[in-house]
Amino acid sequence: MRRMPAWADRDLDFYGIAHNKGWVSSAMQTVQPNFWE
Amino acid sequence: MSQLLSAGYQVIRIGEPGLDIGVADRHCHDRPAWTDSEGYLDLYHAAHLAFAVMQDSGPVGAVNAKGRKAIRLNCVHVYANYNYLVDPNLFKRYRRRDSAEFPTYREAMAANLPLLTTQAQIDDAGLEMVEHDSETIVAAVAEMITHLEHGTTPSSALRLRQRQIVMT
Repeated sequence: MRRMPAWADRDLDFYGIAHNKGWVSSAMQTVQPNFWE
Repeated sequence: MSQLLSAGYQVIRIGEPGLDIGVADRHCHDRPAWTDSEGYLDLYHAAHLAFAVMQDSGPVGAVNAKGRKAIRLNCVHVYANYNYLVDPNLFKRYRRRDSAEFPTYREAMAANLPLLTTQAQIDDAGLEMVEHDSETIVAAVAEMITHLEHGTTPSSALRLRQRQIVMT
C-alpha cells in the first residue's frame, strides 16, 4: 500500500519542498541582522 | 495598531477578552468585547480581512481557508506546512540564558531547536523564548502592506537561503 499520494513522491526530500512556497519575512533581520548568516 | 490605522486600515482585535490595548480609535475594534456575538463573527472577519497578524497556531488556518494571508508569529524554524504556505513567517526567537545573543537560523537548526516543544525542554537547553518586539512586527506589517497594495513579491533570496541551510 502506498503511504503517500502519487503527487507526493516527486523530489520531496524535505516536507513537500517541491511546492516551492514558503515566505520568509524580511522582518526577521530587523532586530537580528545576522539571522541568515 | 497605530501603524495600521495610519495606513488607513481598520483593526479588529480577536482573542483573549478584557485586554486593554491602549488604543482608542473609531476604526479600532475589540471583538472579544462584543459579548452578544459568537465566534462565527471571527470566521466572517477571516473571510473579509485584508490580512491577519496572528500566532502560528490553529486559528490562523481559518484565515488561510478563506484565502487570506496572515503574518505568522513564532513559527517553528521548520515545519511540515511551511512549503504549502504563502504567508510571511516570523520564526521563533530564542536567546541563550547566559548570553545576550540570539542563535542564527543555522545555529537554531543545528541545535535542533525546532524539536523543543515544552518549557522544560527549553529550560534544559539553556534557552529562553522571546516574543517578537514591536519593531519586528511593524517591519513585517509594512512588508505585507507593500505586498498587498503594490504587488511586491517576497524575497526569493531569503527563501532560497532558508532552504539552503535546511538542506545542508
